[in-house]
Amino acid sequence: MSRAKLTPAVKAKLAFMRFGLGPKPGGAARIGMEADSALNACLREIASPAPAQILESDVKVFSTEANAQVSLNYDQVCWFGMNVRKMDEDNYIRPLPQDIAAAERAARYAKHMSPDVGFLERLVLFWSNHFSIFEAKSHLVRATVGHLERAVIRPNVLGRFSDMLKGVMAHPAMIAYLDNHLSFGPGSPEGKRLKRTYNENLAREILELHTLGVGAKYTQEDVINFAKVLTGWTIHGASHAKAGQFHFNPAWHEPGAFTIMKQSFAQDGQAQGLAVLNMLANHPATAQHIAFKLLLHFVTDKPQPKLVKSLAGVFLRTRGDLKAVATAMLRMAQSWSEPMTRLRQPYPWMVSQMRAMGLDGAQAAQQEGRLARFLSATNHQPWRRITPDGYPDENYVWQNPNAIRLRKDVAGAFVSGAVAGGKWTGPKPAALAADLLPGALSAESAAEIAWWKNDLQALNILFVTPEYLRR
Amino acid sequence: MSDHDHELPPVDLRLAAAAEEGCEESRLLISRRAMLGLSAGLFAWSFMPRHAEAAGTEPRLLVVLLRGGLDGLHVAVPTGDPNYQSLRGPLALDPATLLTLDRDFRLNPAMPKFKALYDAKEAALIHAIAPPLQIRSHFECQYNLESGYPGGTIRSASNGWLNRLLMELPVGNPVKVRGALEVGPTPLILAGEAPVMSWASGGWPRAAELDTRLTGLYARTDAGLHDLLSRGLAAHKLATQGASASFPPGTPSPLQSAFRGAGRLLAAETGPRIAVLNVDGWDTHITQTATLTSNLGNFDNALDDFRIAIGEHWRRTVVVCVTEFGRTAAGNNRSGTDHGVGTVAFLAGGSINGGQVFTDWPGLGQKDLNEGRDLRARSDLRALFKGVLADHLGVPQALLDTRIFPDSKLVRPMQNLLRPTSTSASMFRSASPSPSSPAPAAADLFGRRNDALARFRQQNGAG
Repeated sequence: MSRAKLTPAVKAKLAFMRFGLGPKPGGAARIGMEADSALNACLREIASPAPAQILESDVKVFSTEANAQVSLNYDQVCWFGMNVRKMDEDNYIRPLPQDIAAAERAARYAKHMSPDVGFLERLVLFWSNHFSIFEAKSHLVRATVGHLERAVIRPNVLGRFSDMLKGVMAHPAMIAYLDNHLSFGPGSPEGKRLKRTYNENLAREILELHTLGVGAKYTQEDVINFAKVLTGWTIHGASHAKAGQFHFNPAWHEPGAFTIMKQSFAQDGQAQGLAVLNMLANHPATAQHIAFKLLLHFVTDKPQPKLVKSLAGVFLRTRGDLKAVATAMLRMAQSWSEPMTRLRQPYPWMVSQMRAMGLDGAQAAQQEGRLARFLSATNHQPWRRITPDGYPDENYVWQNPNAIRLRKDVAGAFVSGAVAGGKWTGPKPAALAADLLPGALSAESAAEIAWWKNDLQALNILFVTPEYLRR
Repeated sequence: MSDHDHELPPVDLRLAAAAEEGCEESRLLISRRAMLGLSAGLFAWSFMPRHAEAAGTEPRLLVVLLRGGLDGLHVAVPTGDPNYQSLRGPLALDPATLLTLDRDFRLNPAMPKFKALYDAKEAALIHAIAPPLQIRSHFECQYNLESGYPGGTIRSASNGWLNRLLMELPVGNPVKVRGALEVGPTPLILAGEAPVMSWASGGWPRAAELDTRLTGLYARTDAGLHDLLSRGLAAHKLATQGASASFPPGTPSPLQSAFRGAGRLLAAETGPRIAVLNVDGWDTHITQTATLTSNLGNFDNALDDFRIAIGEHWRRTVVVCVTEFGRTAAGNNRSGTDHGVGTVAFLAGGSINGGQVFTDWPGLGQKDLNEGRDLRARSDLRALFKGVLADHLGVPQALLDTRIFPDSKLVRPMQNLLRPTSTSASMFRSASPSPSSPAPAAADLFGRRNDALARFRQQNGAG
């Protein structure tokens, strides 16, 4: 594919497709057509994390007890997650954990409709995938995974990486997903009494996936020592008043000082784990890992070493200031000059269809169940990656013959079901396309959209034009 | 061009599959979805070569993952075991209604087509088998079954044993060229470095004209998309079209469509040679007899349709159907069973040394049961897989013991599963790897998660 001249129109398309969630009607006009309009629109979206916040009251789930839509707080989602089996005795009690997860997704979709570009939302999605969780691991995970994203990822999305890391690890969704509630210090009082020992799972994944990354110089001994440090990071049992909530249990915690990455950690209790997480969060290998992964996700399958080094430098100098890192990535020339040869991932592509059709937040939330079908079909449903590595970023994973065929059918089916009464009442698709991507739609694509007399089929074509599929 | 999607029910198969993903250790979820019945998702294979080679005489392998934990005691019923009737109570099936397999076992009557294959010595059963990890969790046991690792190393791999097999096949081997195919959202068993591609057995109704118009648009604007869409449409056509006269009349169930598609693809000269199908719906915590009568019947029809679809290649085919665990030997108080351990596996295909139930029967006496509740597993699913891979595909034992099923030297491949006369062309015929030629397995270096980062760091160092 040839390198398109970087006109303001091309930059706008690039912002929408590479860094955002696709254009909204009137969005291109609102961000403007000056040389730096697209960049500035992205920068404006990360001026403050406030627009990315989802309030507890924004998440509504049906409760049979209240016979109404209610919002659940942390105590409640944890309790439901732990006690759903008891509720089994009383058939059809609601909300079920899957209802809670669906409500969280619906609130997420609603939030996706607001911004003009969606870069801040994409950062949320990036970090949520970085700390990927498989919701079907257990009821507790399913009931709390949305809370983790809403209460830990979103508030820290422009904050410090170390804060996000510590928040994620002190959340029941991650503790339960990676089995740390089954991990006992073998020399701890409870470990000795129950003859139980540590579980390496969480410690290993923090090192391999969340911080230093595969290929960094940590050893099996580091993993074991870190696992011991993390003993006691657990959740309250089902019968406890705070069932399912994270807590540190000193009676499970392996006593003593431990060496990790050649540093000794002699703190007591939970402070020891927090100190290790702080060390890891600010380690050069972590900086490189995050820099590499951001570029891999947003820009290219092959991040240039000098760019990785530069972005990692920002991460280290700012002690993991995620706003500074995101800003630096946006300001790299390659972020805009890299040709748009990769396929957009299914999730942002699906969301961009709702945005293009002008759905508001409430309408988007109503699509949750339908999106679950289409995102499962395209293997990109939120919180459904089984393994903790998260959905991959490399193009080859997403771009294959059946995937393209499927996108065509998915777009057609989604579009026709997303409009009231199966009838499109918006602007003619050809006009809409010109509004969404002014000056950036090829003459061939524009002509093809205009050729279709059926508006829904014309929209179907729009969403599988190269302009809508490439990033 | 006719649009065969319109022949299929407009229901999305993966909708049901997605619902099944909620499958946890809970009766609650089960009761809500009992009516969903069986489902199958989507196919994948690595790629479609552009040029046909000589008609494929290579062996075919279909792995069917029966997700949810199938109750082996309800399928191959141990009518010869003196404790069967008393232990099962109301769940016990009346021997007179069952189909006789041998002196000790009878088959659930919902599977007459499988019985016909069994009588033709083209199908067999393995009883009292389970994956190495025996902890009654769907998630962990499926992971264990598909990763091919011993029980203790949960989530140590993000690739599956079938994908590792693909990685080990000698370069240029026709099977590797054709890759594997899969049904369901990329199950772990096929996940990994070797590219896998998918075909959806369902799909949504659409205007056929859209295919041709869009292909034309891509031809004018994006050569890459044009190539991909053309191949995707060709594969879809291959899987959904072809002789259908010999199938039973009537609209095929979604499961039948999936199995027919798998058969057509494996039969195609330019198609894959290895396939995986997910079949959900076996987690029978409640009303087990009714559910299994329906689901086993549906499965029986679908499996036989696969036989018809694959045609003359049936004789060089092995179908292995496995599940992550069996169920409690006694029923629960809801006419169902809860998670257990030992269960059955099915084998079918023209290469099978059929007409027998392979088992070292552990018995159903109270002290014979695992923890007093489950049928014990006397064999390891890895032994079954290794036996099939060794005898059907010619995979060398050293590879089976190390790379494909790590640390499994002590798990001996099952013998005599295939007919001695079945001389399927070995996939390794020209390239038996000698121990001194350590092909640097890419899987070892990069098969794990974060391969992109691993590669980057090989060149540039870490941090």
